[in-house]
Amino acid sequence: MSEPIPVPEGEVAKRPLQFFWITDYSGSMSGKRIATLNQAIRESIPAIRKALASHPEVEIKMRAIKFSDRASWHVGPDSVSLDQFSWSELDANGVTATAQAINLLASELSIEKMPRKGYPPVCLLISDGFCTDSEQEYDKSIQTLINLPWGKKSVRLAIGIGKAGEDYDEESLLKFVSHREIGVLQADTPEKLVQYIKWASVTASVGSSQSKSKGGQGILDGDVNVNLPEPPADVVNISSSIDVF
Amino acid sequence: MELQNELPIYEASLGHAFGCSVKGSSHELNQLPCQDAYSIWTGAFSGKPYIILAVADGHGDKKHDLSQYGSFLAVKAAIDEMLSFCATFGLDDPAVFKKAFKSDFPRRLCRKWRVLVKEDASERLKEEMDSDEQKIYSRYGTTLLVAFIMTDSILIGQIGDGDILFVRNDSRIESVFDEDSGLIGSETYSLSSPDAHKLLQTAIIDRGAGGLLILATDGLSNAFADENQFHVFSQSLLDRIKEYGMQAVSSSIPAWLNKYSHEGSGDDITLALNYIKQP
Repeated sequence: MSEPIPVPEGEVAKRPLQFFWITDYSGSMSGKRIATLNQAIRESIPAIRKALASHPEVEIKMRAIKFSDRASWHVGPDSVSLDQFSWSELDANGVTATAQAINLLASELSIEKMPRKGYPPVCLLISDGFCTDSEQEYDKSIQTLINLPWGKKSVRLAIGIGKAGEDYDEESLLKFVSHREIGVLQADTPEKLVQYIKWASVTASVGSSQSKSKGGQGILDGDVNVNLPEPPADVVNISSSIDVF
Repeated sequence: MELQNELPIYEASLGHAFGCSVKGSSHELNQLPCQDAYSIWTGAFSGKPYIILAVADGHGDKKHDLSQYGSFLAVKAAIDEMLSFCATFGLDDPAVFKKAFKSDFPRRLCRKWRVLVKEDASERLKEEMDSDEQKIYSRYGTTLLVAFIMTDSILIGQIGDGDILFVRNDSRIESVFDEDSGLIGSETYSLSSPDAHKLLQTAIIDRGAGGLLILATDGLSNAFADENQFHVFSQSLLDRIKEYGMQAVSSSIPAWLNKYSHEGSGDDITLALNYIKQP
């Protein structure tokens, strides 16, 4: 039997899916809120890995932006694979520089910094407060983000911790969200925060990995190229928990 | 003579042609069909030989649930329409043929595909047939790459993603069409678009001293780290053919494509080749 022909040269690689956590660690997050967030993000990692087992072609590359008085990298700016990702404790203090965090996110979503053939990035914003940057700065950061091709195509979800209007500004977080039918996920109990973080991170990752946008120029599918299901009813209906934020 | 098999065909003055499709590893895991299709046709008109290669990639998500049929009909439409071109314009005057290809092929190809889709849908969907024709076309949505190889040149058409490369015998690579800078990620144009005939690009390249013509669905290039690595693969493939011969290489290609899908893109992969002899 003749020797097999060597496989042609060329480095083979899986397609990357860039995942960004954008987490508030302002003073109001102290205590149970930040503890629950730390725990929930850690628990989400194996859940994402399990959910993507049927999509071995996807390589999740994860980063995290934290914001209080200012925004900075918690994990990054270089992304790490899911297997290498670890979440170190965040301690709460300071104010809520959400606009700076979105600007930092936008700076990484330029065409030059993103793989052209990757999946739509996933951006999950978690906050319990009103943005302390000016409204003008906040709106400008959102505009910068969605003016970028990958920013526009990204799956952007937001979780508000506490009560809308009292703890966080729902209208302002909604400006960040790509899927208006889902809206801002209201986590007013620790249970909801854990479940929403898991649901949003898993659902957005799976949705992005299945994304198809055919037709170009929005001819067939419009601007939303990732379809997401509704949040599960058992999360939405947890309304009478004794343990509230 | 229609040839669609896993053995290379040979035409004395145009060289070897070969095609192969493999089902994507993620399609295997998720019990989805292969939504790619290809067809190879060789013949002669007025004593002038030609080879036609056609490759298509059905879009494959829920909105395009009949796209595996759409891709099959796309390669059929491409072959049918090129044969119709031969009959209408002949190959005696290559300049006339080429001019007609550039000006008329996109419109005629798109029209042909739509006719075939409507015929298929009337059989397949029967009473479930939607009155909105555009919705039907969208369900069959697909890309298409086609090459008509003549003794002096190659006529090429493409709509949607996928790659057409010509690796010259001196290893220089010609990418026939630039990537559309307006499309990112999985975005692609589609034969099902209302203005598909405007989105279908055409080009004519000189055969020169011959080389390897590659038509591939995006599952292949997406399996490589970047465009440069895909080019490395393409050059290496030509080297393998030169060293081992098309017959031997063609028998290895299905396993290679499976590897690329499993270790890279996860997608269906279709590759059609023509190793063009020096004229």
